[in-house]
Amino acid sequence: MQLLNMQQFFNISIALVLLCGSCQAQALGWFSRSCRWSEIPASIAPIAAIVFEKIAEVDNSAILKEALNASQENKKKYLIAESITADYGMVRYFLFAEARLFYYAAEAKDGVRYPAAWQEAKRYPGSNWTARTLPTELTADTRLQIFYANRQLLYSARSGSPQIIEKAGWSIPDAPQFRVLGTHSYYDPSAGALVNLGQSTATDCNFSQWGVETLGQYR
Amino acid sequence: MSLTLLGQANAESPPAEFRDLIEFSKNRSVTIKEIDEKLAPIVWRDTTKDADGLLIVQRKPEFLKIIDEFRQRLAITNHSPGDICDVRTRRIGRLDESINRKSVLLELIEHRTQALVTVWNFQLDGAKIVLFSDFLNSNFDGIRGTLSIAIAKEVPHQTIWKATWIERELQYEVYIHDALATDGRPIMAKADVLEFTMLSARSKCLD
Repeated sequence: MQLLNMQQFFNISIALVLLCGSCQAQALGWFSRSCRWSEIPASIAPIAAIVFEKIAEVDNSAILKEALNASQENKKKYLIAESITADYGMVRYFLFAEARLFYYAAEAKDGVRYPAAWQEAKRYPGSNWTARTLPTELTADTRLQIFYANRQLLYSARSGSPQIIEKAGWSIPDAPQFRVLGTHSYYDPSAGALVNLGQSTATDCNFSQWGVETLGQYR
Repeated sequence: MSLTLLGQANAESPPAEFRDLIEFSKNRSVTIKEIDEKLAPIVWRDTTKDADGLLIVQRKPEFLKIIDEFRQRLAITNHSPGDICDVRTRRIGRLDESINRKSVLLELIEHRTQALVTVWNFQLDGAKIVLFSDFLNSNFDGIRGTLSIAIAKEVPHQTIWKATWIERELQYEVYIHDALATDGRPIMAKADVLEFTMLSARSKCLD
């Protein structure tokens, strides 16, 4: 991973204020993220890469290195698509999330080019019913305080790529618009209550909720 | 344009039984469901019912610290100091999860007990709730709801009572800390817990 220079530290300190302005002290939350690597500010990308490498279910060091070193145009090929159900501050429920990825593009069939529409590209496995917490090695790492300054007590369930980041295979001029649709629920074993929280949708990086991913979505 | 994403995902999403219920509940705000053969292994996995019908639920040790955790969050979020709202209750602190969901830590003055109350207008948040009928073991001002205690092997002498019920568009959750006696039973009597619960839920501190 790259070392940060002073300018990057300065940029991060500004971003820290912006991000933590929306940190919630105690709350149930559900949201999605549909993000190209090219949309991540250069000041945050190296820090994000450290987080993503630590929390990924599988070895993603190669793809992260590719994304970090790619040209700005090529950075558009790398996607982060996920849905997360979170409980900040308290562990109360078994959480569940499931993400579906859509793209917006015209389609040609039998020589006819149909108008652009949202089409499903992928349905990710749902999370287990779980309440995963952040590992101490993340929350204690001073480089990562941009994400974890106010998130030591965070429980969540995530649905998305096990690598966190994935590479889409389309030609750059056709790079389509993406959208993630998440479904969110929780089960309260102390009440015998299954709660359907509804859906979330995202077409951007949802920066106010960065760092919420936790380890072990399939365990 | 053809589109492929490298690394295909498995389309299955466990557990299917809960998924079916979520689909089933989509068009109703509250559904009461019996626990059938498919659901029983999931729902009863960490839960038993004693002879009095009280639910005993195995939870993670962190759950038993829920009131302490809430108190710590109050300390770092600069909330207003406690207020005496009525003659029987004092508000220690309040945190709003959203405009429709708030949690309030109360002191029940004459009983020297604290209760954490979460009130949620789940209908305004668009949530749908499925309740398992076997869990409806108590009566809260005429409304059926659930009273349980949580235990954790790692914390052998502590418990948390939890009362949950739905009253019109509001869901109430009340948490009360208690100790376990040497026989593993909670120290507080069930009738006292129900009284403390309703005292908390009707407190003007929730306004």
